[in-house]
Amino acid sequence: MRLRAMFTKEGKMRFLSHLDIVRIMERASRRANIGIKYSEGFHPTPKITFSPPVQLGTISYGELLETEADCSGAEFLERMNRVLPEGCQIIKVFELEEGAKKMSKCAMKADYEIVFENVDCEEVVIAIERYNARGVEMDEKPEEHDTTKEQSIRDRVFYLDAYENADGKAVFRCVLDATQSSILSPKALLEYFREEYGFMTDENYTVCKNELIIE
Amino acid sequence: MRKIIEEKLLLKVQKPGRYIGGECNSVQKELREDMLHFAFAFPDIYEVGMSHVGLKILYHLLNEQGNIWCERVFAPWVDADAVMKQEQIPLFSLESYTPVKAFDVVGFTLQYEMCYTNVLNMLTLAGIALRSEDRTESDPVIMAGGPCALNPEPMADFMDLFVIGEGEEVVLELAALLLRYKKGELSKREMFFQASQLQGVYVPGFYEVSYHADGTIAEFAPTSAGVPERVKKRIIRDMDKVYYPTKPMVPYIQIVHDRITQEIFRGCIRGCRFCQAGFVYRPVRDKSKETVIEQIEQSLAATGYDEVSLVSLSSMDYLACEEVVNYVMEQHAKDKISVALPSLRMDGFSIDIARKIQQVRKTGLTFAPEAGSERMRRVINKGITEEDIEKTALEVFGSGWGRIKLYFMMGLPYEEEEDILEIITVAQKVLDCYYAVAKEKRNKNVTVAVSVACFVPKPHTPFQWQAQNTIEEFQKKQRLLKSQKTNRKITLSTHEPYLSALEGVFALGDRRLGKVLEEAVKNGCIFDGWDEVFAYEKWVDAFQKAKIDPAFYANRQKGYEEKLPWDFIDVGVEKAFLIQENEKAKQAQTTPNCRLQCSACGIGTDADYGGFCQ
Repeated sequence: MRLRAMFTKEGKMRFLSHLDIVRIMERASRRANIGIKYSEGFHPTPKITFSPPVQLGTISYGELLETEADCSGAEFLERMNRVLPEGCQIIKVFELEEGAKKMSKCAMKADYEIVFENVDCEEVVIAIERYNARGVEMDEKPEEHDTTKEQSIRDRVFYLDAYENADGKAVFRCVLDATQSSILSPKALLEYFREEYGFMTDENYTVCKNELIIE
Repeated sequence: MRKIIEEKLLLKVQKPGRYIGGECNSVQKELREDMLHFAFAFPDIYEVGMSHVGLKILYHLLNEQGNIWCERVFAPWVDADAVMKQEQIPLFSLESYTPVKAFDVVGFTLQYEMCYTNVLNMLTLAGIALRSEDRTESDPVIMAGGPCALNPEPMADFMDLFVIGEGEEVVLELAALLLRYKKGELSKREMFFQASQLQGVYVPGFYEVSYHADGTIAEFAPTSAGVPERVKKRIIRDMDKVYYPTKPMVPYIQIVHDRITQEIFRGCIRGCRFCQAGFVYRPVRDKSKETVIEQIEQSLAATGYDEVSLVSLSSMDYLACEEVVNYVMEQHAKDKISVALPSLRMDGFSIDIARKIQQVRKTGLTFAPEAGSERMRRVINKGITEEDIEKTALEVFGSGWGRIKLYFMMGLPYEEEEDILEIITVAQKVLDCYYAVAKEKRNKNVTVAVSVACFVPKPHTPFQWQAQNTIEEFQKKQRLLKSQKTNRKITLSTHEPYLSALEGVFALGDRRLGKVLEEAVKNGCIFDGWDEVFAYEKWVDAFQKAKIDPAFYANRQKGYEEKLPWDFIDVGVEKAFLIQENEKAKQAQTTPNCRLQCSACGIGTDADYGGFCQ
């Protein structure tokens, strides 16, 4: 059965790299005894593919893997979660039909919250206003802008917002393209905001990937 | 504490995965007042410490006990060390993020001499006084074990007690004493005294050393009545009955040996004269193949690892080796489990086993002839001949491997210039074997990788009286080697002689070196075993400040009559035997392995160890 599973990377797990998560899943799949399919070749490993890595430290509720195993989706979820560590748990499993698109070909969006330690909410608000204002300008007078670079970013930004969370910290919420071929990371978005709108932040921020939407 | 660690430390360091704990099969407990809180401290980074089988054994053994919670502590890498010092985050345990100072006992394992500064730095990070005499009842008891404890003296000032030998039994006996001390049934001194009565425990505070005018030891004696004059090592008699972890931890981040390590026997039949392990772990004690297989099965099911390593001092000497390999390969063909053998020998090398275990990865094979000339190999009792080497090389290249790695040593006792040159000759002969194999059978590429380490004389070996080569002598020999190597298919790597020189000092040293270690730590020495961190000039300064000449320990030939710093440690092998072996080395005479013939080393006739020497 071809399976696609959405899993979390939170708590201690957010301090682990993508390759660590790959190893955790491979070993868990052996312990779970679910008849996972192995890759061919000189050094066979469980055949599992993963969505692109998130930045180390990111909290995520929307990581994806795809694999093939001798069990149903419900069994996969139950047996894997029994052997997976806290903070790395499967939350949803999709049973894929024969010939279903690989996840690398699926259009996806991800909903992030970037929580800053040393940035005022007001600064985020101003930066978003500048972003929106330029969007209007670009619609009115396209000839005055280098639209190719701008547009390539804008095509991958679906929603932006700024607010304060319960701890009074500034939050930059953004829904970004997560399709593998055109993914835009929160880090790349912040870099763009720094270059174009003078939005300054240090390294002290936490990204939370709250949701992954597969279209 | 958790919040501070996550916010101030984990996101500031290169590999936060080293400090998070919570791995599969790691142990969480609810700590009660009547429990012993034990910190197992490994003075190197997580990836090294977690690869160590001794840690796995003792961690899981201690946690099997209802009244003990053992947690792990590793040396923070230099980046984390700097952050912790700056943010004043104390050294903490991985399981519960508890400051190490709050534990009842901290047990360090001393795997190599160059970790000594890390031990002191970890104590500093924990906010615990370095010297045993400066600590009070409110401090944890600080102890150490492991191979370096067989000459505990350089660390004697800092440790409350040492475990000498194998720890599985004695650590529980100590834990019982520590619990009584915690409950107030014993004073600290009473507890230490009772500990000193256990076989395999050394309490340095109960001994005094006096010295002759020339700096050698005049007397080493207990200061209290009832404390034994000599400390006997502890060993496990029955390897089938002793505890072994079959639900080992599975780290999240990749460690050095990231696989199941299955111990198959202790001791070694060989008796290579330079090798400390070959003498101190006598006698040879096998695990039955039934036990080995059962433990492998349980470990595989509990971990999800895809590789098992059969570990011992010389795994191909295990009589059931091939059977165990066959079993695993056949039973686990479906789940793709592979087997690793860490120590291949060139005599009795089984190409069949090698083919089986390496069928998936044809990277290369590693052997250790140790010395270049046949005469030198007899001197060190390595016992492999040039014929063995050529036969093995032909088989290896004939089976399609393209890379052979060869380990050698330089600076061995009774070594001549031509012995050094023969290292290259041997490498050339091995390479010739490749060209002797038919073109269609051999690999397209060939490399003979030669690695030459600097010899360090070790306590309790026949070479314990030898003077180590000086740094200049090592460098001269390295230059000589490099000038001889002309073939591009042969690669040559040598060790840092500065590091080996220090290793020699601390391997052969006495308790006066404590001062040097303190000065070195003040100078900022940590992770000395790591080339990128090691700073020799800081050590030169430390020796000067402590007014100690390192050459006195490492580069001086000692007489058989001299009292050596570790003479009070009784490993069961008689001094007369070590002298006899050294005399035979001078004549380049070999001693047969224990299975062929007993050479009466003393272990078999010792009341505590005898009777089960096979």
